[in-house]
Amino acid sequence: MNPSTKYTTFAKDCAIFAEEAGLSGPVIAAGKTFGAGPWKISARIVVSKARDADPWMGIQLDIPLGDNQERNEQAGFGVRYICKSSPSLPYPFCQRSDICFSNK
Amino acid sequence: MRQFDSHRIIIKFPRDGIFSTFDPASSEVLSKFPNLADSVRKKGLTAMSVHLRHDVSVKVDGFGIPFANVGDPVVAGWVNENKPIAGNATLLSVLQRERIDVLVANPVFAIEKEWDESRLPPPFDYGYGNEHSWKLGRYKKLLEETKSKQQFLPAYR
Repeated sequence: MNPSTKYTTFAKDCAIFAEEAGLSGPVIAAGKTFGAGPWKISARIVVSKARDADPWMGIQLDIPLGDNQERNEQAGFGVRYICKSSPSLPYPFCQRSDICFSNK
Repeated sequence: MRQFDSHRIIIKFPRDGIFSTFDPASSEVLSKFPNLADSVRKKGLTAMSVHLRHDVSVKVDGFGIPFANVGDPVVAGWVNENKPIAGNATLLSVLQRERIDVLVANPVFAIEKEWDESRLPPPFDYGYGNEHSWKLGRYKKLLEETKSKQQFLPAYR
């Protein structure tokens, strides 16, 4: 792995419009930075450079599951969770043999 | 784990499959955002246009996963029945665009610098090669060559 490679992800709020070209038509999605509006979907552009994963460039849409997911939970749909990203762990401690045991 | 109140869909552009253009946002498009903070407006925003090459397509993450928004049937209709969000635009039609135009809340010089495929790290590789038949000598060599001070980050999300 090239040590000069930078693993800093870049993300900025963006807005997407109903017409395919030219930023025309009503707004269908916009990130928080754009302030309040009638749109409900949040959007941002991302250049993802996470370690140990394929880097990618793309657009991320966040569609609301609604009111803290309380009504979804009551209706039996359940609640959505996300993994917290974990920091890079040091290599597991090795004792005499070649076999390594993780300290989890 | 933490509760996450959004259904996240990611459009990933194929590597070496796009070209992008950047222009300062027009005052006409900015007028669609009356509540845009002055500080953001002052710095400038970018009209970015991402064109897909004809022989490639985007990769979409998160589409097709069960969705519910019991309190907002309109949003549920966008995702579960592909109903138009505004005009003729549906979720599916947005994901299928061959050209994606967005207004980015960042000035042109900053986006031009960051939205640059040549600055992406190389595709991820575990470094174990493609030859996996059992040969102790090769594995010992491989372990020596690829040893790192850190564990791999978890691959699930």
